[in-house]
Amino acid sequence: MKRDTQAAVSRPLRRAIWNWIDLFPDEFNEALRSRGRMEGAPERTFDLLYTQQPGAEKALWPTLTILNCISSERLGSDFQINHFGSGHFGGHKGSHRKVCRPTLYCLTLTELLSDIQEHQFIENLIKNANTASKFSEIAMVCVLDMCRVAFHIRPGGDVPLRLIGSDIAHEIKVCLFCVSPEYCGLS
Amino acid sequence: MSSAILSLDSSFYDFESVDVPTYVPALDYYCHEETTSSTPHSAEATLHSKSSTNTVNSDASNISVPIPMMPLSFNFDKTHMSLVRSSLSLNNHIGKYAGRIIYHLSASNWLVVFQRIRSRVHLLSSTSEDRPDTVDLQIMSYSAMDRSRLVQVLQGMFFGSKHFCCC
Repeated sequence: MKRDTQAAVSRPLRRAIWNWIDLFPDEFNEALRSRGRMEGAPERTFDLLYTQQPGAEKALWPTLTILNCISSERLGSDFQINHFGSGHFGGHKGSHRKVCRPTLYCLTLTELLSDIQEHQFIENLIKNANTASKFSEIAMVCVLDMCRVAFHIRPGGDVPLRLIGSDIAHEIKVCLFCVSPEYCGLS
Repeated sequence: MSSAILSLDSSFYDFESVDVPTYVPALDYYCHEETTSSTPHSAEATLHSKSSTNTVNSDASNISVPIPMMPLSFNFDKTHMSLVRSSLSLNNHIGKYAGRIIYHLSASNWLVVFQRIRSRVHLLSSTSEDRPDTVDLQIMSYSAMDRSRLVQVLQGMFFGSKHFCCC
């Protein structure tokens, strides 16, 4: 897909996904808690839209974020935010996945790579939201979106996104209250 | 909770005006205030996908889950005159009501709406124009989505563009 096409498709796609979450809360909760409900479609769309090349971050990042949030199979519980403000996924990726999916899944190399891609994307988001970069505002919109999705998940059960959401909420508070001295004219 | 907070179009940069109140049907449900697990729109009127007489397979998609009617759609809304003075707010206003029409169209005639979206994605994937027409994609934003429809749309993305992937 060309970059312009990706950008044109991704904005309405994000709203379509939110429409679903708003209209059918039961389906959404069920899809997050059980494997395979979405038939792998969010994951494959993520791979289609994800690109390392710069240019369309503003249009693509929010959609990639929401696609990531409804991909229950890839967003693992091993995500942690460290005290330096950047997120990382603990543990060795391959070994963790093997523990998580005993004999159910035969991991192909491409699947492993895209797992890493998705984790890299979230790490990048949190890094950009925390630091003064030119993408910090759009990254902040994305992490707020993640919190918003986490708020839509019913309590109870083990849904990794809820834990991630509360971690991210903490990060957002830090960003809000630690205004850099330049803003106050104290530099 | 204010509808401005939940608005997806918020730019997060400045004050946002709320021209038409946006009602989020599942908001009470998500606030975890209910003790029963009933759907938030169980008491409201619903739309079903109906097969028309002259199409053979139009009921092939999922018809088991009823789509809730969009709330407030039968109320009379008086357009405030200040909205008419600015073309931006007027466009938003028209878009909102056109969106309600598309919502109800897509709820009862999903296949027609989906074909429109899919053919546009196909066209965009293969076109070499500099500024192709992307207005049809906006239909996605206003469609009444359930899980099977969303999966259809997502699959339409990567099946439509599989052969033209260039970056």
